[in-house]
Amino acid sequence: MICERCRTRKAVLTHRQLNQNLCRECFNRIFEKRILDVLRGSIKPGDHIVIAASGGKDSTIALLMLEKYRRTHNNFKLEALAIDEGIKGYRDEALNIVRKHCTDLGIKLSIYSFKDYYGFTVDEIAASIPADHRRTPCTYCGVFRRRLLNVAARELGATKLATGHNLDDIAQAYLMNLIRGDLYSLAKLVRPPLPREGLVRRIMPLKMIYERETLQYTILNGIEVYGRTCKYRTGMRTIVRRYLDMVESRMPRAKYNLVMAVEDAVKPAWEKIVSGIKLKKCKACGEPSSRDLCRVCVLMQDLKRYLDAGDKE
Amino acid sequence: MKVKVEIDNGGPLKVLEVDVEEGTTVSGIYRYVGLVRESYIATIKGRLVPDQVKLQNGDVVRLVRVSSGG
Repeated sequence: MICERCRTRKAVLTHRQLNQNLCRECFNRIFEKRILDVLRGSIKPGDHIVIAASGGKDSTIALLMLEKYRRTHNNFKLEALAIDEGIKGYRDEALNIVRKHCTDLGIKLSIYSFKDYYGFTVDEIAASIPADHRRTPCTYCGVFRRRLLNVAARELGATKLATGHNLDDIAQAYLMNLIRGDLYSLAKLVRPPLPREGLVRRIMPLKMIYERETLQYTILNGIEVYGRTCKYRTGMRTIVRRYLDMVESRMPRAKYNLVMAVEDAVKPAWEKIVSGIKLKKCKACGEPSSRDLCRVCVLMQDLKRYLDAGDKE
Repeated sequence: MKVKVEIDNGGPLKVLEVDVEEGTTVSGIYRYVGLVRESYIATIKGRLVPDQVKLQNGDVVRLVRVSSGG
């Protein structure tokens, strides 16, 4: 089977969204170009980019591509940041892969832990909340992780925080916000309001990349990544992910079309949706928040009951 | 013909022996194992393969779940 791009080399995979069989070289070129194009539009000379690295395939590819871009545009600073949520047998192993890649590339890595910042780990959260609690460990982990990423990036002096979010993640987030009827969060995702004191701007180098392409790229190029699934993973996103995969199986490019359509629809109404909500400081912790009490503090209050009860036992 | 399917969901492999029709392709294997095609990537002997490749008797196909992490 011959590559349908170059028509000379052997095809090694099917790119379903392009509806083409491709050789390694053509796939790599198409894949990397789309990431480098995003970086070209996201990074300015003098930027200090901090990449949130988890050891998984997406953030690892984002890290490698940022370093590749830096080698040809040596006008910004790049370092890596990892969050240790304290999930034994999962994050500890993944962090070893982050360390290895950062050492190989000569990139400085800082690790911030839940234990140091919040005083507890996700394992401790999972052990303390009741099994029938309406919130899962994922809810706490997601909110606490986002906060710590921002705090750490700010401490490191980042002008932009790069994450490994891909097109699948974005399609899922858009659909989840539509299902919840949360137009404000949707609009913020489509176009983050700037500048906002205390919040480090985020960039997503893989935003035009399907998650399956990232996995194809790692397999094709023998890149070591951490491929395990977190034992606590549950929730709405899992259902939405499966639904979108089913649609995409029948209709390739459905996720891409969804993302583009939502952005086209939201952009003209963006000012109206976002302007009414002012960013203030959380009354408890002083971090930026759209509410009097930020989400982290709300969850901390909820969690404290269970963690304190556990201490007394 | 018989094909072995290894399903990699990010934990221990789940292994199935599947009877498939002659001429079944890589992308056709999903209907035998009840998985959503878009959620997995197929490899044979650790290598990616185009969807239209026809499976041979005794092939071992590994389906790696695309989504991992948290």
